[in-house]
Amino acid sequence: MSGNGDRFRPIRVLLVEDNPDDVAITERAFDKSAVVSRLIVARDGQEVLDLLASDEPRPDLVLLDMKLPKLSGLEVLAKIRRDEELSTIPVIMLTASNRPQDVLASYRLGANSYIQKPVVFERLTRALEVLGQYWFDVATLPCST
Amino acid sequence: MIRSFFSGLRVRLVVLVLVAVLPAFGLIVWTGIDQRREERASAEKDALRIAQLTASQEGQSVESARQLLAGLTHVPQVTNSDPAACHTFLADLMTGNEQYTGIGVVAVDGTVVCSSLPLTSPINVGLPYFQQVLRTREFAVGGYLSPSETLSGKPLIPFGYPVLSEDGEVQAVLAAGLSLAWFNDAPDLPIGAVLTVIDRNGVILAGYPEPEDWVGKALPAGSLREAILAGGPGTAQASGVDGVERLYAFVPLTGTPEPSAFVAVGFSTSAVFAAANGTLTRNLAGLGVVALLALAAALFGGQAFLLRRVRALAAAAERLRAGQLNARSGLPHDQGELGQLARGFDAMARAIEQREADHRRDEEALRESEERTRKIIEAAYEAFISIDGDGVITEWNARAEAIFGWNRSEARGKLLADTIIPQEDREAHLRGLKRFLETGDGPILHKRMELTALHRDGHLIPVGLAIWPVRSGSTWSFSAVVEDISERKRVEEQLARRAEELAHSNAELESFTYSISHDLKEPLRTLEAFSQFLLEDYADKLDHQGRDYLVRISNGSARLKQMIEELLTLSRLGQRPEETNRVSVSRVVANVAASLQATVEGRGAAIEVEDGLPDILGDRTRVEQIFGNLITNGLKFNKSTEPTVHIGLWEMADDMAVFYVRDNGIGIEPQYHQQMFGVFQRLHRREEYGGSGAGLAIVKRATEALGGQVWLESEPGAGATFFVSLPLWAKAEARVLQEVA
Repeated sequence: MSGNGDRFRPIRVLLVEDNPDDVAITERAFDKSAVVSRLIVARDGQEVLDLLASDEPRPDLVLLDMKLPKLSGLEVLAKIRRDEELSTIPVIMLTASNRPQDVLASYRLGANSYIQKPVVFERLTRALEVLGQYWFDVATLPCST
Repeated sequence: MIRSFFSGLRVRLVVLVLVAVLPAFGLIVWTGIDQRREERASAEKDALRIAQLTASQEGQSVESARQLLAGLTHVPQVTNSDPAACHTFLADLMTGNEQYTGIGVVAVDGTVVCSSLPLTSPINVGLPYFQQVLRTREFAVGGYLSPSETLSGKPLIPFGYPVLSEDGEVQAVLAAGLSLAWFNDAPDLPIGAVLTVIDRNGVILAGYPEPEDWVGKALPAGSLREAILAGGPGTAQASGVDGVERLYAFVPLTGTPEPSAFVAVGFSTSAVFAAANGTLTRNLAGLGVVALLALAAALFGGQAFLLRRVRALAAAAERLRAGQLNARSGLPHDQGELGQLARGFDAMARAIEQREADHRRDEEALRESEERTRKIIEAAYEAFISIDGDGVITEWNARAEAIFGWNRSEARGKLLADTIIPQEDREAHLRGLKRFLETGDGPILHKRMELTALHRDGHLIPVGLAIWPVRSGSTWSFSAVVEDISERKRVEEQLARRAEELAHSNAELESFTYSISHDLKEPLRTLEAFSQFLLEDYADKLDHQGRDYLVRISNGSARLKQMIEELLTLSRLGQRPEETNRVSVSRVVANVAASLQATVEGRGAAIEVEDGLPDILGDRTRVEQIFGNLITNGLKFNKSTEPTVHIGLWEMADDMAVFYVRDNGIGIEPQYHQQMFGVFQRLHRREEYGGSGAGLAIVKRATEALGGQVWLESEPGAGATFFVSLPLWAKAEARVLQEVA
């Protein structure tokens, strides 16, 4: 992998999830997918904000669970979207239910997509496809220099 | 004064009688006058006739005097110149003859040759008759001579006749004087008549009766004398020399060559008019009697027939005026005008009495009604308070005493602002009162309000009240019904608190249900995911049995997930919808049918929907759940070769529409009909028919959440019909529109 240099660095995925089972399920979905990724896990809303504010490289994608200890996922999303630096980071919301009001709230606050848990391969793939469109239209492709 | 005098009925009657008598009076007087005129004419005619007769007698006397004188000229004693013989002859001739005053022979120079009278002095030869005889040598008559002009001292008419000589010369004149004394006898005059002879100077020459009193005197100057001296013949009414009023007829005496004397015949007017006056007097007396009788009849008859009745009417009217309403005229109601008047009056009095009785009854009823109203107000459970336009309390019932602590006698006369209106509202109260009286603008009137009032002891009481203005003449008063709503407020607050608690606990419950299901789903997800991963990643390391167990774990977790989802749905749909709208049942059913199209086609089934299903008031989600579950069940629990579900309108009752969903499925035994609607109630093994068993529970909860009901009719093998009642949108809309209006 390293031979591919920076051009092919794995995309940095920040997974915000307090349930270790769900972390394991999501990791498996990424393993199954063709996307070369490096998964960073934050356990609660505050931790993800701290992480984003640190010197760590900016993640290419955030998977944000709606139900989190301390700050909820929607609050975290709102903070990301209000931050000038972070506002363009693609965010995929993870929800345990597909209650219409939750989905609507997510999009209203600027989520790029959402995945109903569990994050299994098929759902992840569909969400990334949607995101690919976003990347082409709006953001810089992470694989480009 | 005169008007009032004539307004008396009796006076009018008298006047009427007099007016009626007046023509008779006129007629009598006219007849009297006529009769007098006739009698006057008759008397004048008689008088004239007598006067003319007298005059003509005098004329005959002149003629006979001429013949006498003519004869005497042939008598020798007269023509001889022997005075003594002549005298004797003439004296004899004249003896007993009073017709002549005297007769004599007069010489041409006037010397009396001989005379029947012993005359010595010559006669006046200058008299016209004498000269005429001398000139004409014919008989000549002189004018009347008054006594002063005659030798005899008697009035007379002188005659002369020439005694001619043989050669035809006038030798002497035979003169005679015709006496006027015979007039004094006037033998042909009617009784009471007078005869007067006057000369042209108005001196009375002769007269009848009592000539001695009047002869020689002049007739007094006056109309009579003028009329006579004018020549005549004529008539006149005048006073005679004796002062008696007479009708005179007069003619000139014709014996003389020119009128030198006149004879007047007078009838006393009293005699002439005696008959006429008598008749007139008699008639007038008769008329007077008649008039008196008529007056008496008018007075007494008026009294008897008019006045008594009129006074009775007037008295009754006065009694009526004084308030004696049963006053009646007491007169017979006959056909006469007074009878009609009495009938009219009595009818009027009766009507007034009746009306008064009605009025009194109405007043009594009104008084009773007021009394009743007062009692009702007094006994009312609400406080009744009235104030006048100044805000002063005028009414205060028992309940007001109880609510506010002021008793009636204390409250009345006080300002409302000083009693039950809290300090901070007083100014607004007085301002509102003023504004209404000035502009008629009363935004707080005629509607129910809830305010805070002040009790006498200072504590505040929540009250419900309605105020309405009452206009009486030009003044306003205001009445209010006030209700102490402390208790209700307390209950309301309690209810509100309970409702809030309930809402809170409902919210908690929903949140609980949500979090439970959410939290339950999390481990379930893990279970599901990892058993799936095991199956995917390690299938080749497990034997058949191991894989079967894993499949069972996977199936179980999937079923658990479905049940949790349905529990979530149930908890959501059991709440009343946040908002309700017009929902088209036809469209909902069409959507459900469309979503089931695959199933329908796969099984050769049919979904029949009646046209024109009414719209209901609800929310789409619940209506979809209701019909979706019922239709799905109808197809699912169905062994028919052509499973059919029919959806229609059963009836519309009151505000509700009753829909039915009928299938030709397996049917349900009646004893299970109730438990059908329980959560996760199943009548059949899961292997036989799929599903969790929450469908009908969801239908029941959703229907009830919309205010409706669900029930069913079914027999095993005969299919099932589910009935769902839901509120009609049209009725709800009409009600809302009515409320808005």
